[in-house]
Amino acid sequence: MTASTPADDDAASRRISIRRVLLVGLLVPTALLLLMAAAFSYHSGLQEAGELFDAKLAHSSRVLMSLVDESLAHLDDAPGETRGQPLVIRVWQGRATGVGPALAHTEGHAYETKLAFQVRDPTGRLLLRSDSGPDEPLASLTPGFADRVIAGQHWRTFTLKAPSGRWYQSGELSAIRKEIAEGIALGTLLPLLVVLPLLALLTWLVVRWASGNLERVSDAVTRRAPEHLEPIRLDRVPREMQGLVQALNDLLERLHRELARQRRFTADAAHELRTPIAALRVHAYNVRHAANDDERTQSQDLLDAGIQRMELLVAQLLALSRIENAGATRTHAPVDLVALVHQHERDFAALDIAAGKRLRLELAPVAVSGDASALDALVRNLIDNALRYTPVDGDVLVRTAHEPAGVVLTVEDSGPGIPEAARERVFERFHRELGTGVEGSGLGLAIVAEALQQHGGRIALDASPTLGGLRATVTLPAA
Amino acid sequence: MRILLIEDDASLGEGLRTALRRAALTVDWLRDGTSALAALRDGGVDLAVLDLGLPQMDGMEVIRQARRAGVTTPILVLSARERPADRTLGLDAGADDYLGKPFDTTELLARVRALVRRTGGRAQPTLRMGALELDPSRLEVIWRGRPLDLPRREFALLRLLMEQRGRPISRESAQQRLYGWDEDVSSNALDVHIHALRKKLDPALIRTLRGVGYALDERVASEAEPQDGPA
Repeated sequence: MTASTPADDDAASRRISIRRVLLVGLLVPTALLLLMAAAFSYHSGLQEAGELFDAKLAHSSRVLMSLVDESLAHLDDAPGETRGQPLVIRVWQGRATGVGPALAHTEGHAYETKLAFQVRDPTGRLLLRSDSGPDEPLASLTPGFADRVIAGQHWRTFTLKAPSGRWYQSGELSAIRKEIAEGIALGTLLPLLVVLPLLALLTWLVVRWASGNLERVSDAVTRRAPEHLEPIRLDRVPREMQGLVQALNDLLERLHRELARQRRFTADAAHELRTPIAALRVHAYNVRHAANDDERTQSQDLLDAGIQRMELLVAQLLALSRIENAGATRTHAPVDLVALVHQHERDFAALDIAAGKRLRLELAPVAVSGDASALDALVRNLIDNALRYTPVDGDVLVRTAHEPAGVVLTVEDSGPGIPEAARERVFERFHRELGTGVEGSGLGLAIVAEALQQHGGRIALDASPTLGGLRATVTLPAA
Repeated sequence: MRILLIEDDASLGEGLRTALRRAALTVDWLRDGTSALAALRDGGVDLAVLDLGLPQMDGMEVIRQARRAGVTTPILVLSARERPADRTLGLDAGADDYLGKPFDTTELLARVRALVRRTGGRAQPTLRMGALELDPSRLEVIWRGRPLDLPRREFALLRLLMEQRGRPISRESAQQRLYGWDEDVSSNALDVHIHALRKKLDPALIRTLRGVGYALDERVASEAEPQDGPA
């Protein structure tokens, strides 16, 4: 319809998207948790492998000591040519790649080369070494664990001093520990890395399905128009939204009823206006085509009366529509009924319909809570009706009183009354009792009924016991 | 011409009666369906102008029952029910014309004239007999080349006689078609109007047929103006 302004875009981007919140809110923490788990397993793998390998290293030194310490004692007594030269023990030099059983051979293990040991006499002279290790000392002659860099390679070593005073040292390349820890960490991370995209896809699908439900509901709402306001089907609406959609359906239903009523009223009004307008046109024609002044005056009078009647009809239509609209935005305030009656007494005194008729008032001070203009229309129409139907020299009696049921307003007249069978009908819009010879809009009692409905009031019609005409008894809740 | 007007709205009925009367038509005004049906059955009416939303009996029902009873009087419906479907219903029920409210009074009067003309079996809008010419729409009479200004009642009587095309019309029938029920008519009113017409036109034009009624003399109507006085 209109171009969107930057402010609109800004507002739109700040608006919450449930789909985005769900996707980001589920996927980002999941990914972070997976990374944390991998980091944790790397660290704990490193630690576990370190502990295991350290223990093995110490064990190796001790085994070596128990196996060779005694033999080395004899070696000291050996003949000259071998004396001074350290013994070199060859380890298996096979190569293998892969994991688990692939590294193990019948002759040894692929990781064997990464283990080295040296034995030194109490002075530090090298007595025995494995060929998998370097020539230089693995570690200083201090008992316990140590980390050293030899020829660019990281070694972890353990030094053990035998009771004989010889030093037994075993060392291991540190890289192997890292490799194993990485293996453990990767073992944890890999399945998770495979799962993560699947999880993302699944999350996206579930979120899309759920928000699709929302979109279907909003599509259904969008499709509603004043011409078709049928309720939204609840069977495909998620349980969490049933309340909202039910409330929406109630609203649609009320809207539908209200629109139908308005359409009927407009059609009725249009229909009811046709005859008075036709009359005005005929009178205007007659004025123009009158043969003499008498004829012209006669038709002019009829035209004037017709215009007055039209004014009354339009005023009543507006009053009715105003009261109906006031029902939506009800502003209740205390209203003095007695003051209203007095006001209308003065207004009617100037009108033709009151000429030669007595309007008597017996008023107790009463007030009701309500919409002032609706109550004004109620009082005016009741008195107007009574005066219209009362013959010249007749009486109209208006009374107010407090009764247990509430505030009571009675309007009685000495007119023809309304037969019992017709007392329901007269409240219908545009209804006119026939054969009374009284011209009205046919809306007076409809206005009264509408005003009463909005104030929780009642009206009863019967014969006036004192005046013989109609008695209208209105009961309203006291203020 | 006698028109039966059936309209329950006092103001519109009053206005229509005035307009029709000023068009030199005789109007009987009824306000409910039941008496309208009774009046249609009684006959003696040239045309009915009928509202539909009537008390006691709906106008549609009046049309149906009247047609079922064999009433041939043309009926012009005048109704606030003005949708094409309503018009179709009305015409199919037996109405001869249908006008929606609000309507143009000039058009209504033209339709009334057209219906009366057709019912009388004429196609020409003006009535003519020799040197006598009558235009119902303009309320004009031309006699031997000169326009004649006639009061409405005399115009209506002359039209009635011309509609007969030389055939006689009885006193009763003429009276019935000239005066509504609610009009206070003296017993010799018709004689007064006949006398006035004879005086203004030609004494020999309207012949009195004893025991039958009145008729226009076509021979007199076709005569040239008598040369009264020296040429």
